[in-house]
Amino acid sequence: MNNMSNILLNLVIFSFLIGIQVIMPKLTRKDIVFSIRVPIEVIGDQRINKIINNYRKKLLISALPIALLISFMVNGDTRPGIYIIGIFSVIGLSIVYFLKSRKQVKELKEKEQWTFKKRQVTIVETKKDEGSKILAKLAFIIGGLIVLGNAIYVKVNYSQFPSEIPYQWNIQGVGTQSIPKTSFSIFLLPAMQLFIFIIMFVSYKSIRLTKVQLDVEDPNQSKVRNNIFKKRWSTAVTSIMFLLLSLFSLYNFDTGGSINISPELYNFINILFLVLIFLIAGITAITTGQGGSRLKDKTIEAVHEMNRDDDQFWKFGMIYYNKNDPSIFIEKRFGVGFTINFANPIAILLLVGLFLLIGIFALLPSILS
Amino acid sequence: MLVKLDFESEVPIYQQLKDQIVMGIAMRDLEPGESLPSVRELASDLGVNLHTIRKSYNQLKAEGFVHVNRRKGAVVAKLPIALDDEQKLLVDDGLNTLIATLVCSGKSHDEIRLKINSILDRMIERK
Repeated sequence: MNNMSNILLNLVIFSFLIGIQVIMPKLTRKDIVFSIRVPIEVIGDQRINKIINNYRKKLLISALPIALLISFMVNGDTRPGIYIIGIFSVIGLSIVYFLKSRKQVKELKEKEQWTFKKRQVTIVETKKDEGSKILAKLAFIIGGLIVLGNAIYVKVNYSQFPSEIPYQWNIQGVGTQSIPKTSFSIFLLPAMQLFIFIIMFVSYKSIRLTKVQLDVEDPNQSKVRNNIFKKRWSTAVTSIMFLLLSLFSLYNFDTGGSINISPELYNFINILFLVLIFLIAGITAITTGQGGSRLKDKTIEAVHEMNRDDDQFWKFGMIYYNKNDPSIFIEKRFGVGFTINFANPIAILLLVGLFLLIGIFALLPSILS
Repeated sequence: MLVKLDFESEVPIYQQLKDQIVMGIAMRDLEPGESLPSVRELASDLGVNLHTIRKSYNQLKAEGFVHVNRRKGAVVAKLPIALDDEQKLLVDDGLNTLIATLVCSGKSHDEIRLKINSILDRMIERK
């Protein structure tokens, strides 16, 4: 049973990882192919389709065997090293094929002079209609209360806690790593929850603050799409926050002896939560697309204009670097979610802060013990 | 109002932005009292330098199209705005040159009148 669920878990993670990379070319904005901006009417061009199909084929052929091999070889909690190598090789492969495909599209664009006769424009709306933020505010207030509640719980039930506080578990909820109990280290789990809360809050803020990009072909509809895009990702982020906070609460209450969950139930809960998180992220990504590109309300008229060719600001098609742009957050060009403007010092500071936070998170058990 | 900027154009970005805001006010896409996006917001969405936007806003302010409210930022001014003598002269000169260009290009007076009328039709007259 243990082995089966581990293999199942591995397969879920790997198929999610590979699946999202395979459909990635269709999740970007409509006029962006492998991070290259093209006029909207060349989408569907045979040569472009061929590049996309090639990318998919190569990625599947090379990544699937790795995924299967590692899924059946690694036993979740025993050899995490190989597991991480597996994940990184899948990501590495997709980057290599991405860069190759990007180069092909770039060459095609230059050869065909697709941007030559086009006016390159950027459109903005002067009136900001961001919709209501009340629900999100409420969600974060409740999230904060959950963290606070857990902190109060461990304080009040100090005597009920075992002498060793576990902070890492296998899939059946059995503690594999722990620290000795002190009046300080008892707050380990609430502290972990606090980090989750902070990271989710920053993600939410970045969604809200991301540069608004309107499409020249249909600026008004694209305004609507943008709003839906932001709203859905905000919802996804808050839902994932709730899932993680609840899971940690379960572990906390179990450690404190208030509830008793059987290994079988843990097995089920852990897989369920993991699948739910992947489902939320996956479904949001697939049904919405970057900037709402997958929402079906697009009417394209042939225009002699195109969205500004901003390829030059996307180093390797992945890193946004534009000194003139005061934006901090921007949609990923090829990928799901958001990235930062690496030319903006504030953005760099935020990134460093985030890494520090993750570092502290990883070192938390040794800091507290 | 939607502002559309052409990055290949000879006309500088700050000028394009300024022209479109003036146009927007005349066409009632921007109402008096309506606030404009902050300099940072607009620069971020357009992906241009803060100075570019500041330059547009400063000129609009100097010419009376917007005024700066401590709380709301740049706000569209109440109409009509008062042009000083220098501005009136500039507008007259500009108008003369533009019409002269049309005449030189072989357009008949009637064609030019039609054109001017169609532009005026897009702008709502105020009492």
